[in-house]
Amino acid sequence: MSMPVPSLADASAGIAAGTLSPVALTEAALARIAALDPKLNAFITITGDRARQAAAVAEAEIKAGKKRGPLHGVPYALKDIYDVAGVRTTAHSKLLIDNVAKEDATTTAKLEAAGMVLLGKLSTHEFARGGPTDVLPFPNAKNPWNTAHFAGGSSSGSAVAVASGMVGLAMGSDTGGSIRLPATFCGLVGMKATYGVISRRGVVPLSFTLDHAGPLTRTVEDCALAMQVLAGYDPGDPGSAREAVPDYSADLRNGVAGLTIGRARAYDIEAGVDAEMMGAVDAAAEKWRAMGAKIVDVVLPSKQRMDACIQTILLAEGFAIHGEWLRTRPQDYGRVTRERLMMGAFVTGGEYVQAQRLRRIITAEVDAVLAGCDAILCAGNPTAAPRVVDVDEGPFRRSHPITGPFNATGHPGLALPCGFGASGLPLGLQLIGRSYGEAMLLRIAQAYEQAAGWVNRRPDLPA
Amino acid sequence: MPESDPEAEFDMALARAGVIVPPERRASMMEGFRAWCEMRKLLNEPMPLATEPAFGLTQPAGPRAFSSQAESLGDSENATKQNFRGGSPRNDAAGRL
Repeated sequence: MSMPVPSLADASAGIAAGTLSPVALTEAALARIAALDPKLNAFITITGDRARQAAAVAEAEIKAGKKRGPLHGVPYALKDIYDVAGVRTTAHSKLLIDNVAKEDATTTAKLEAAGMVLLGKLSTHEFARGGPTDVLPFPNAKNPWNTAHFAGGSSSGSAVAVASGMVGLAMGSDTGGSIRLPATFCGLVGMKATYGVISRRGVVPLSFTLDHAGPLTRTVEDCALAMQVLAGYDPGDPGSAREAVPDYSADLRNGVAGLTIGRARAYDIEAGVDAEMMGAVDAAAEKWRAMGAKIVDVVLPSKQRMDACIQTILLAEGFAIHGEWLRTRPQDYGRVTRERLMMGAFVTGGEYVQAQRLRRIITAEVDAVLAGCDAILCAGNPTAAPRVVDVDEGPFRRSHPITGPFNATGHPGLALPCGFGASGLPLGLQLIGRSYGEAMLLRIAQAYEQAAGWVNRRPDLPA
Repeated sequence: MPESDPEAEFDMALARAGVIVPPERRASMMEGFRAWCEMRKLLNEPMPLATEPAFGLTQPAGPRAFSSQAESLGDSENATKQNFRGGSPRNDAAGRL
């Protein structure tokens, strides 16, 4: 029998109270992985021996009164694009199958310094770009709510591992929605912080100016705990922001009375959000209103225009990174990854520069909307998770993610569960905040999470 | 403005990039290319000349940061390149990509 691991906050409290030990917690997590991963394929590499060793060290340190912080002795896992010294980083690809990292990514180093215990490396869409049916060296992760449905991507293994109770914190990455979409499809909290807040050093890139590293967790409180470890300036990341790190938990329970939330309904309509998802997001807005927030309608720049900006940049930067392998080893990519990356061959230098100029304009336009509200509210995806067989895996999607524009503008985005559809699958919303306003998003999200109660519903999984 | 011939542009871009699309995938890639051609029209909105690219060339704030970086590199020319190219490689894997 394997039970879901507790949330980060509960694990932390249990360790602090002496009712839970890092060794027992790690063994429980490894047992859960052993029981479920053969069906769900969340992990590429399980670092069991390393985890047991780290847990024993953490336990001894805590017993000796050398506790490093609230997450000391608590397990975590990494999308397999994060480097860990001595462990392979495959990006779920044949091309990096033997790539053993020499150094930790900055984020890995921070989590390790906090005393956390690495359980292993998680499935992703190949190079964070492919699709869920690509034929790759490792199987694709499956949505624990319904394995016939899409887990989201590209941080698919990260979402599956957290949603199935294998781990309380998994790191993902988000270039156009790859943290927020799997969080939405799997009923989780996912944070894409402001560009530059979390270091990308040691994370396999897809698009230099759109990539964001970030956490997926079960609860808002857990997200705040993770952000406290992860945020901060890193001179090793050229895009890192020289911003002070706030206390992400300080205002968590201050409620939303007096705050203003901008409901971007027109944006959702343009994105094709279905009635079920629209109803859930509108109901969330009403919940916030009932708690004292002011809800106002806001109009974002046209999604189509923002899509043109982000897609141009993504295609060009992705091709700059992968061009050589596309020429010399195209057969070693999955079909979806290869074709999506090859699309970058069609972008001219002039178009890339125009997209970067447009990016400055739309960022200012979103800033102007945020000058009138504390956060923008929209759907996390137009629908609940589609069936895997219905996922668009063409070289250029017919419709682009509702999350992507905020990778172009760099604003922080938080995915948060907001109900369940008729199919029993999770629904999710997205909160967009002012640059470096992650703490405000967490505060607004926490109020809703506690009032709505969706957080207590978990997938029905066999032990 | 004259429209380009999509088939010719498609072949020229792939040839210039040195990548090959297998014949059985050409139709699907061409469909994607045509969708991209529609999308890129949106990049042509009028912009003031002063609208420079976002996330373009960035420098550490102020001359103090610049000089300290130059000192650590021991080479002001290299320091200039670091600043204007966006810093050092991020990781091993990135270095190989």
